[in-house]
Amino acid sequence: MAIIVKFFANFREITGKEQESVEGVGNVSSLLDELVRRFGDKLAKQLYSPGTRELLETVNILVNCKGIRLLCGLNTFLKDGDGVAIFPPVSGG
Amino acid sequence: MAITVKFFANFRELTGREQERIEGAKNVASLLDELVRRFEERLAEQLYSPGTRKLRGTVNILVNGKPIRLLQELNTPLKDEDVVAIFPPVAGGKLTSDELKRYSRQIIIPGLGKRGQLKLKRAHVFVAGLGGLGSPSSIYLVVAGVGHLTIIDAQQVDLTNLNRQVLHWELDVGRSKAESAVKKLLAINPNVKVDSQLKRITPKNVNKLIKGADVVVDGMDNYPMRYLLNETCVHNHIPFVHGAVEGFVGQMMTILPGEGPCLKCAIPKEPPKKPVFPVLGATPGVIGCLQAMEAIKLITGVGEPLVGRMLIFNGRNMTFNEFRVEQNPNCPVCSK
Ligand SMILES: [Zn+2]
Repeated sequence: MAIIVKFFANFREITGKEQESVEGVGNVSSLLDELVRRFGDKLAKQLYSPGTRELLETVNILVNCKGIRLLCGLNTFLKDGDGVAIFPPVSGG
Repeated sequence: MAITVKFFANFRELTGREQERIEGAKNVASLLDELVRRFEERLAEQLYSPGTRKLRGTVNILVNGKPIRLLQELNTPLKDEDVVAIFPPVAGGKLTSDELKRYSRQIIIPGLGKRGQLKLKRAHVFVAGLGGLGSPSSIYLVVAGVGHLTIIDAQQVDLTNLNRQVLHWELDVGRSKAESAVKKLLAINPNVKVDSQLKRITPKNVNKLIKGADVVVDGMDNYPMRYLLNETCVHNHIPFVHGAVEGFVGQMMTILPGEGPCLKCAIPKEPPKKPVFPVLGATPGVIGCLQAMEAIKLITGVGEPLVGRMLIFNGRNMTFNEFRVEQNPNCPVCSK
């Protein structure tokens, strides 16, 4: 069992993957660390405000179908079998 | 405490009552069972197609003001203090021979039929915004025969709108979008009623604006307005079809209040505002058409709405993907 991360829109383009399986991370923050380790700086640039570890407002992450900004943010707890979705909401109309 | 059933028109005549109190009915089907037990065969004949337990197309049932066709039909759950209204369609709402011909290609769609077409004719859809999304969605709602469309936009047509806002043409630049749109929509289909409102949606007027709508379609270009519509729709139990676009990417989700998550559950915090966002016209074309389709499905009861699922369209690699969204127990809008 692992955590399954699904990428959407530009995150799929950057990583070149639809999904990635990650093991041994306890929360969203450490999951993102692991993803940045795997996919490099180009992913970090899309996730964090420049020079910080703050999630960009353009990024929306769901853990088990629930937005983390209504849970515990980057500290949202993760366990084996959890599903994570990362997507950049668009706003035009 | 009990469920109150209100009868109208011929249902009032044949039961001899204005209203009836029923206890212990768990859903609409068991409520109707109890009513048939009390008022016998004459009521059953009016409610069900002959020899079946299928509701006749000519019977409308509302639970707390909301049509059961937008809830779970006969399986719509009931609880104490709910108010159920049972009435026949309003007079004069029949399909004309012109309409039967005009809509003939969709009437033959399995599951839609004349019954679905009549539901469309009696429906009222509110399209918020007449830009890249609102243009295609209102066109497809009107050609499908949605009887009453309210369209609203406070802006004037600008030359930079014309790459995507297909309701507005070169000659409309400088004109109000509401005026430009109503002309085109009525020229496309004179059988429908289109109200156009040249105004901004505000926290003050939003309740009144969307009151009575069966579905609200999101054609806004910013999250503060979308959150306002989302919240108002949730509070008024009106289905809300969200859509948004940028570049080659579009997203969409249907909010069915009480049945699934709301926009705030899916996107708790608005992305930063972009005064000018990149967009190819075909992207809102795709999403706007899909929003019209969702509204038509909700009205007719055909198919399965995009509830609890965020659809992501990416034109760059021509993919449609979705992820599930659940109601967030901490949602400030829909979780109480
Ligand atoms: Zn919500």
